[in-house]
Amino acid sequence: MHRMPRRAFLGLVGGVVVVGAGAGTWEATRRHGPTAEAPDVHALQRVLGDPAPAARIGKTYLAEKPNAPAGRKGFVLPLLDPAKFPGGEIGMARAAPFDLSTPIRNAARVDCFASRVVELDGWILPQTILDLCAVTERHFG
Amino acid sequence: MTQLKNGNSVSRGETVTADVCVIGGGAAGITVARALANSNLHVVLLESGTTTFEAPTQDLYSGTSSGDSYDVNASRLRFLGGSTNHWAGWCRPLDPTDFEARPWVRNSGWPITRRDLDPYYARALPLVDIAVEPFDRDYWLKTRSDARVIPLLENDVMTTAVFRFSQGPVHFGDRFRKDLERAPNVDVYLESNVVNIATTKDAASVTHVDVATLKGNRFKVSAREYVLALGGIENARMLLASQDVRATGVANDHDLVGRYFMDHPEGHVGVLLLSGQAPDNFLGGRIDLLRTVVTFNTKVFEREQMNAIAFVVGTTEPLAVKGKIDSRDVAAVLQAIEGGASIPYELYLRGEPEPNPDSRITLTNKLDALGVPRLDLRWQLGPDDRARYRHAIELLAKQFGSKGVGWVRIEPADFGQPKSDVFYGAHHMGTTRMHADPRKGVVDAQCRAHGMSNLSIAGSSVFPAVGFSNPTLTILALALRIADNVRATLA
Repeated sequence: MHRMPRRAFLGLVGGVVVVGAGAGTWEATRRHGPTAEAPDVHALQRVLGDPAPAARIGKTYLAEKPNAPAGRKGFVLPLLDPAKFPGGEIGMARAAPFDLSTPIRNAARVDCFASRVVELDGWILPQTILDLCAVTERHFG
Repeated sequence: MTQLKNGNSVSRGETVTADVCVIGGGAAGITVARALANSNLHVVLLESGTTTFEAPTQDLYSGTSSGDSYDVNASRLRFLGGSTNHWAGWCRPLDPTDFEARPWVRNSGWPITRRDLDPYYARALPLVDIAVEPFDRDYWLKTRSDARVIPLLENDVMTTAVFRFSQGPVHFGDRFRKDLERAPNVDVYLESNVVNIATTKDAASVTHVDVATLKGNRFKVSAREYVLALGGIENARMLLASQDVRATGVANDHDLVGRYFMDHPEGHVGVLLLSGQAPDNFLGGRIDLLRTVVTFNTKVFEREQMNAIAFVVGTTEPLAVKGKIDSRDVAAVLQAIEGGASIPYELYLRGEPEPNPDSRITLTNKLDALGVPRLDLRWQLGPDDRARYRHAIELLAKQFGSKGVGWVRIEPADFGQPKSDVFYGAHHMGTTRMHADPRKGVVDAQCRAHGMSNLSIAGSSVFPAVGFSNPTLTILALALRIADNVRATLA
């Protein structure tokens, strides 16, 4: 019997888990449609209030760097996954927008710390924020 | 009280004698003369202009610029008080590291330390109406509970630097004219332009200076000691133009006079979008005439191989360069993510240029109204300067972003590219640089011209490296030190 090396096996399992989690979130988004009914998209809209400014940035970002968000597809909305939020969907629904934005805020700050920034039209912005803008453009633009 | 004299009243061809001849009535020259006032030394101060702006006198400054764009005429003023007549009053000593030789900043390093100048900085502060208190950030952040400053970001990378302001600001001609008139041993001659520095045949001593007025008078001044204090550009021009004995000019045996011209690249480099309001101390003038700027910790300059750099936060809402992204959209996203109101400020950079021997003043074939060759300024930043300034902005952006302080936009987007436009602070420095080795500097550690017995050079032309501080306070400190040296020499 072929024995898979332990490292490769763990990597495969990890990849399946990550893809699975992302796919689940995107499936929920797809199922609920682009009307912000999915919990994560709904949370995104609550974080942003008016999604139009982020969507406009996202449109520019996607036009300028069409390939840039590919590697990070599905990164932003999982940050707003109710399953990871204290109190689940109910907790998320009751949370203030600023608290909802905490995972995004933290990810954006870590981006800057780790030099994961993108220069767009002179703005030096965290990758997470541009991903967020791209996702917003996709759902609300 | 002795009224100010006028060069047109001196008998034509007369030789005025003195113990000390101070050439130039700006911040440096007035400070030297004032420091020697009421002593037993007879001091003659020669000022080109009168007590007010006059176009024909100002035109004596006119020259050309063949390097990075620079207005050699408008960036200085030629009447009693010199360029203090239009300065903004920013004061800050050089940092101790500015005096050190930093291997990553070529040609940096003074032959003296900050400690050598500290007593003179303390004596200089009252001249510009600033209370003698430390500039040290710890003092203002921690000790002064009544006027405590609030930093934007203090961590292992970023820190805060303190500038203070001359109230008024002090215009040296207006402020100290009475002191000079009252001093029985000081004679100030207005409308008296030095057009030549005459030396002995071995070029080792100044014998006299030739003086001309725009109304046609000519006379000489002979003294035991001379202090050249014409400003960072004109000091070099005068030395280069004085060719009686040597074609290379005075104090120029090693082709250094006029080289290493520096100014602080300074100006708008972007938008600082803060998540919240900037503390008052960053916006200027509201706490003890103090203004803080953002800079980096000393070890970061070394680690990142950067020149000294600071960022000034502008007080007004920026007139953002139009781009593809509306800054209001970025502000809305920042506000959503970081909370608080997102407020845009101008982001100004104040950079140290690398001392560059190819950045230089030379003489042209054109003559001014008094027959002195006009100058050409070929201002050139060091080869790495622009990229270092951009790197500093990016570092600032990452630091501010990582702590939620705010986001940064670079404007114009190509800032920092080779040959991209830079602004300047009209701080003329470096053209008669100080170095212990005569082959590497025009003046020694005491501001004495190498190889000359009786010529000192005052002003920012002696700065071999310049940090990001405005030069005036250091000009005054060095002038006071020169006055002490002259007094000791003639005692």
